Amino acid sequence: MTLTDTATADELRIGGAVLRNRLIHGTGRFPSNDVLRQCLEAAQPDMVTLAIRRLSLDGGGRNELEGVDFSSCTLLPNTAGATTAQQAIRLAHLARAAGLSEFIKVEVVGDERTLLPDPAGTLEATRVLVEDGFTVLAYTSDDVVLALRLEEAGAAAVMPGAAPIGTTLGIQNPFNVKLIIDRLDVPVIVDAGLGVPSEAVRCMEWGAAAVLVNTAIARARNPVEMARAFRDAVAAGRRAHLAGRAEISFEAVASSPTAGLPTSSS
Amino acid sequence: MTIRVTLNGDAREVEEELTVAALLDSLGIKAPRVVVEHNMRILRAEDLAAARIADGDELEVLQFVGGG
Repeated sequence: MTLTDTATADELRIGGAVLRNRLIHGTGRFPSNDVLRQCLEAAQPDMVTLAIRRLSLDGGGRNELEGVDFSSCTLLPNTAGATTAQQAIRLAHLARAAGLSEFIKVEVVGDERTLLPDPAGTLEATRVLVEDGFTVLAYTSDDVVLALRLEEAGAAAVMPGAAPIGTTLGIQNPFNVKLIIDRLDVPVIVDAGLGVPSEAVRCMEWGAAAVLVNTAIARARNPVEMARAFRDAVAAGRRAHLAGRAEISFEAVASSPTAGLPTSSS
Repeated sequence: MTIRVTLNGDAREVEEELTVAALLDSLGIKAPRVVVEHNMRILRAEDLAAARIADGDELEVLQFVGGG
């Protein structure tokens, strides 16, 4: 039997984007643009997230991302900061006008303390933006039925959070995350709250299409090495998913042959 | 004569008959990927030179920043 290298030709398609690398890289909270630039070189992402904010008007409007090259990436602007569907829709249109990209990560925060998403606002913004021709990636909680409703509303991908944004607490509700991955037909991208590469591996092994990592890289002691570690983890988890895990047995099964042991003379 | 506008949330006095393109120019703004919203309406780059600013107008000048 020939076992092919399934991971080599493996691609994730979302809207018009083709992702070979299933680590989506955030760009917020980095110690400097130079560190961010080095992280992107290390992680080699095919998609990066960005936010849209007022330009500082002093001194000719400094480009906040000066020196960072995104030319090899699909830009995924977010609607972070929105607390209503209307605000998210406005930010999405501004981002499209700014970046000429049809991609939008819909993010409608429903609670300022936990930054957990507002289910009704997220669903409403998703419906409207799909109608407006956007490729919507919807950031959502780990609620399975809401994830299904977002898929029905036309989201191109659904992004359940592992834990509240920026916490690096890791996967708090693995059962729900797995259910979402199993129940949806559109790509499921685990977003928010991941802390270490092993958590990204688990998500990918379960069949997540991708993971989005920001704070875990940006706030690591060595962000560049952590970016590399997440890249490797995502690739390993994906490869393991495609390979298919071995069957679980609750009885021990010897790995070494039981026959052919030399007999004892005593 | 000057008129009063709100630019990125701050009140400012600008020359009357100014276009949005001329305003950006006077502020030295050439940053790539700037997007302008004029009274809640998004301006395409090619419309900046034709968009005239009137008294009481609200302008937002936005750009991409780091985010997750």
